[in-house]
Amino acid sequence: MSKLLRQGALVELAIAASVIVIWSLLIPSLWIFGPYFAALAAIAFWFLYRSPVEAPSGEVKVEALSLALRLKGYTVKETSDWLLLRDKEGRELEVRVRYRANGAVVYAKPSSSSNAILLILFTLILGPLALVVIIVSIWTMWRADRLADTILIPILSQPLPTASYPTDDPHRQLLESLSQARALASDAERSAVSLHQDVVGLSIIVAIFTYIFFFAVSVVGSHLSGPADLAIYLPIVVGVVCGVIVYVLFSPKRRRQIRELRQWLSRFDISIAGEIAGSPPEQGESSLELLMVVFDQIPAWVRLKGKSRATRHPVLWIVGLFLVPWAASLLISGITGILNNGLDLTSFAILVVAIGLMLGSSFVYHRIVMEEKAEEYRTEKEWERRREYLRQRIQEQLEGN
Amino acid sequence: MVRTRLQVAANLNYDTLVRYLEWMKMKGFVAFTVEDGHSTIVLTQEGAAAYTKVVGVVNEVLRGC
Repeated sequence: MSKLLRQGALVELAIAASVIVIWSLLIPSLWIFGPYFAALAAIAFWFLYRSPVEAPSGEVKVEALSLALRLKGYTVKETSDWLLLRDKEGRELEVRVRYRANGAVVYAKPSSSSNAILLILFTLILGPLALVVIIVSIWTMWRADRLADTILIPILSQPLPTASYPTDDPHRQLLESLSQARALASDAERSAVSLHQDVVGLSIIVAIFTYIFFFAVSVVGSHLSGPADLAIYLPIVVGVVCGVIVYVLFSPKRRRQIRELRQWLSRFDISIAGEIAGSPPEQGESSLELLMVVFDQIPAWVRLKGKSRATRHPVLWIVGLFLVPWAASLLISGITGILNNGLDLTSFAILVVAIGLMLGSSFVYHRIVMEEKAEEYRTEKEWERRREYLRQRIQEQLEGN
Repeated sequence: MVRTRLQVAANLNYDTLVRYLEWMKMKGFVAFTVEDGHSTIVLTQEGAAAYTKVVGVVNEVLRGC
């Protein structure tokens, strides 16, 4: 199977190279757009590609496979017909099970829809530099290949456990619970990392815009008076200082969250390793104790995930990258036109379109933020309900005896 | 398990541990015995069953995430 994933990576590389060559031969004057279309073709292949896995018994259920992976301590997210496997190094593999007349067929997929959307957006941003996207997608395919080779195939080559619930084996239940809680912590850690990346991105944007603004001001100023060196270096210093200020203001919270979540992940790893080895710690926290403490943390983890989801919303990216700059350029054109030519119909129409785009963008932003807040509220309520249910049930079990 | 070892494992002060153990004994989850002159605590079948049930409830709640 893994051989097929490696072949997939080579086919993707071949597709990208072919598109670049054919494009350059057909329209040599526009060769610079070759990598752009090659990246789009490569992402399409990468997204659609899935590699069949040999399932020895032919009888594979997603729930049973998920349970087998959890019992080995891996992070798994599952639905009725697919699961997402993730290891500690952050490698991901989507595993799908299709049922045919002659048995189940397991497919491994190196990509997910959200990753594909992100790569397409990066391609649109990078343009001719989109070769980077091709390299990233091929790299993820190689990483998925290693994950399939080292984890999925060995597990599929053994009989899968039965996945009937409830089970009376507390050891198995503890392992499952630890794995599930670790998956939530792992998601939260990834969200915290992506929010920290947002802060880094924001700092860079602030630095660049401040630099551009002060450069423009200082260039105009240096024509009038003052040394030319100052006009060059001052904007750089101001830009860097502003970027650093933004980073220093907003990053500590995220860095603290990342540090805390990594500590949680490490606690889960120690507990899972202890349970797998069958040697719970004589000192320190037990697995059950860890799980009970985790219940207070999970709402914050889920909220973190929601925040990260909002900033990664594809519609927001489209609005931020295309609509807002477009509206800003139209606004400037409209105002310049009115200042130069008076209130003519064209400039007025441009101004109206610009204002409409800005209002539309802010409406879309407001809507997405409100949706996320509503989701956050629902999550909070759901967790309050669950904690209350847990408290009642434990009380019933202990006091009822 | 002897009391002092359990106290270290549970990370509780002695008075609190004794209070919890008395409650657990009253519920039938543990029994006190003496081995080689040391007072030891043994998990009863009821205690093991209660532990299994609590783990089951935790698992049930987390699986719904």
